Amino acid sequence: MTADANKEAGGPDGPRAAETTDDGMSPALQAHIGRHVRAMFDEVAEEPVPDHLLKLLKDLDQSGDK
Amino acid sequence: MPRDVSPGLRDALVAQIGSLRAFAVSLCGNRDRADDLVQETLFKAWNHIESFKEGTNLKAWLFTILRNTYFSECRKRKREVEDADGKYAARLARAPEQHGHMDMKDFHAALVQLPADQREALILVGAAGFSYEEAAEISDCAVGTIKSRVNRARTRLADMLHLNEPDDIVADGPRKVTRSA
Repeated sequence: MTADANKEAGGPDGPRAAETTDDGMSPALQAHIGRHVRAMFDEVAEEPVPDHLLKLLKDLDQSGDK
Repeated sequence: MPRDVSPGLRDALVAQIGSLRAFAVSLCGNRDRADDLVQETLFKAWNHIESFKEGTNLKAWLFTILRNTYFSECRKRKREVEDADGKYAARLARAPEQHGHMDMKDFHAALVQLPADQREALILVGAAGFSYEEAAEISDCAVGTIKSRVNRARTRLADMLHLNEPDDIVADGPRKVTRSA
């Protein structure tokens, strides 16, 4: 029972709940949001580069040659 | 006239296109516009390549060009952009059905509703792999400003997605993991 109460209060290290950020968000919630932000970013980042962007660089490259 | 772009530098540019597209999509929430932004960024980078110091952070340099291009366009056609983004957000925005499970669509809808400066800070630090210091340089503001933008972005996302109770997070993870230990 005491153990449970302890848990509720943030675990044995209770006060060190300073794990939370300045805005009081738990590290778990922070990590949760972080995973989603990264997943969303990576989804686009890992797509093949569209041809027109590669072509642009090729064209710029050639225009520099003359 | 721009100096020659070495093949090595050219390859390095190409290697950043994926991240640039992801950053652009996160900023403007619209894929076509994102590709226009990337195109313009590459064009400017190529034509101002002499202002890039080789050996410094190419990715940060390119991200800086992209975000400056985006924000100056926003200023130019502010009303237009807000309308477009507002419609886009409204189209995507559906209140998350239930506590707990949050799919990417909900998340994206919430993200596009953040103020642009908060969204930018969150993406730079939380997804693109920049330090707070690098993000501050890219956004041309103080490190403390980046930190507070990131904090505010997270807090607002959590609010919008009803992720405030620790239970919500627990509910999202264990399905896969519970018994594995």
